Amino acid sequence: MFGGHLCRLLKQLCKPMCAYTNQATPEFRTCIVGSGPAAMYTIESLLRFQATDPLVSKRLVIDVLEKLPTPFGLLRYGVAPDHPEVRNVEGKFQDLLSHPQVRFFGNVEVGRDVSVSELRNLYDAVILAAGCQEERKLEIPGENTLSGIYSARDFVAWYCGHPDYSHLWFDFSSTKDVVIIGQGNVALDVARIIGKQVESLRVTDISSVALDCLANSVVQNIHVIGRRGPVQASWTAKELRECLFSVKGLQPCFEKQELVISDVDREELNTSRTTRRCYDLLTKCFSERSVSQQDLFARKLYLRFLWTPVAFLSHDQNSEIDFAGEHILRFTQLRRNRLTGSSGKQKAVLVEGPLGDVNWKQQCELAFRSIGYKGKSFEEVPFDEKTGIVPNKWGRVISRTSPSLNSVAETESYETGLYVVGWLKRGPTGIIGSNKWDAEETVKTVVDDFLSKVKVNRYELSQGEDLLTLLLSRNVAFVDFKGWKRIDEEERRRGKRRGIEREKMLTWEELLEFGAVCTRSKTYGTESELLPKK
Amino acid sequence: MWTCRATTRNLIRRLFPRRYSHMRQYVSEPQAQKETIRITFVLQDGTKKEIEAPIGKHILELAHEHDIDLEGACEGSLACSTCHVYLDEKSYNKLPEPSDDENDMLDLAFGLTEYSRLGCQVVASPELDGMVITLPPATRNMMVDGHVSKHH
Repeated sequence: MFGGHLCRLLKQLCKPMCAYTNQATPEFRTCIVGSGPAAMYTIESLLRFQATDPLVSKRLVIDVLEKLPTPFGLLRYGVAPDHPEVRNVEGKFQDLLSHPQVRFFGNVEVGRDVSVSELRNLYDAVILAAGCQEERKLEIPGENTLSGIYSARDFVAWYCGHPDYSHLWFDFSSTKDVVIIGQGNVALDVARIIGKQVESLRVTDISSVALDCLANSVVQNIHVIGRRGPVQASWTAKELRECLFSVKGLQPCFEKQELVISDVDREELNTSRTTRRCYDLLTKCFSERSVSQQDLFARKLYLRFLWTPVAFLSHDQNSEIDFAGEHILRFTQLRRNRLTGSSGKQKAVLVEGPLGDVNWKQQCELAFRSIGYKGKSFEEVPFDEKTGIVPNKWGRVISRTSPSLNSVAETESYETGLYVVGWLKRGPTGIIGSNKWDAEETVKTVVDDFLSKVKVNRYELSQGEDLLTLLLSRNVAFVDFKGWKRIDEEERRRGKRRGIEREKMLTWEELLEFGAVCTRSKTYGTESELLPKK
Repeated sequence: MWTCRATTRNLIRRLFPRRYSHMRQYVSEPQAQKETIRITFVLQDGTKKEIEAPIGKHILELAHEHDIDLEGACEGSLACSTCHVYLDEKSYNKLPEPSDDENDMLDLAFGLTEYSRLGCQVVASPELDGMVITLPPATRNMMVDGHVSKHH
């Protein structure tokens, strides 16, 4: 018992030699890349296995690597500031991260500071929980050349105070129309934050920059546009209900004929409870709203279906005036769709017809695309570009060399000691809680593999150095759990002054000043100090 | 005997003041017994755990007090579906229909059945005496192993 405490104390003092004081019994060394909800539930699951399985117990080491200085991923930089109840789980995550067997390494980027193969040498199991860091693009003219077109992901990160996006400035003071392409919960989040009265955001921990931008907003119309119909939209009932019925000063609008559904649509409604309830909400809102008196001063939220964006334009092709030199977004060009295919597999195809009927040119000053996230490939890790995930079975990463991803289990080969969990494993679906069973599945695989290794005596004690020594030798200014607590406390202190939960630090410099264990000499030009800053 | 038990309980309360601070002090034993019902939890591995549940407490709270592994990520604020449980048919029918907000979250629950409820929304009441609560399967593997979910 005393040895354990001593070891921990020494580790905190950054003495590299202490890493392997308990060499007699092999440690079960695991490393989680990423620190979002999936990573946290993985910790929980690993700790639970430790409690139940005598072979795993007492030897478990969990290291958590995070690219940012702060943990919790999308819980911190993805959950909308006006949904504080969703973030109640943070307390539990803090407890997990402060567990004595868990070490947190913030500001450590895999691929920059340490490679995946190095990690695989250091650990019995490397569990990738990096989530979806990339976004699908529309691939239409104007998307990459005009200014005023953003990804919803960047906008979300920006209003959540992500340090990579704090330099952005959205000019809502000269924006009348906003176009959002895509109909998921992220699209609704973006629409709600833009559409909400700014007073109701002041009490949240939204980034102060975002609050300044939104305070001068003159936005009148928000167009949320989907390629498919009302039945195929991927939002969920809670978010849709909130947007339609409980945002003050935001009036939902529909085109009646777009809410009419076909027999195939009806078949789809019968197979999914969520879809059915969401569609009911739309029709309920449509019928109730049409009789109530319209609020002239309200912002309008147009939910439009069956339109495909075909181009972003900087000028009106029909008029003589040419703004082409400006490269500023002025219009979104859309084409009418219809659905073909069987139930559950309906696809949108363009409708041919007279130009006036099938074309819609929407004036807009800002456009957001929100058509789905996808994972980012790691060097030396198999990756499926098409689906945007790491190919896996029950969390075990399938080798790139395997002939076909759909082949039967016997012919598949796996990457030893490499696992995946969360969105990088299953794609960007589900809510925070969905990660619980996802993590449980991966951890079961991890533990099974470890136990079978121990049983056949093929277990080799990893003799490599500890990650801590590796990072120190490379002069990486990492943030440990104490560093994160310093950031956390300072943010809460600043928030208290404004009467909110926390005021997030918006720059890397500030976050590292409070959090980093030692400073990176090449950045600051100083010798690395091993002792934490006061 | 009667006083002896009460003294022991007071001692425990004094030793662990935080844990028991929410309990009312000086409740006489017979009265306290009347205010509880019997609830059986069926855990993921099939084992049964019978508990005495005080009236007015919700299932999530009870599960945590008895070390039953039921997640409550949003702490009962209807923002997640991690305290999803299955009730027995009889008890389910005694309860009023779930609210819209609860249904919104049940939509996203894993392994939904027609007797699914959120633990944070079901409060122990006298008519629920003898209720059987089954925890849903924890992983997809367990679903394959035999649990059949009746979705929708």
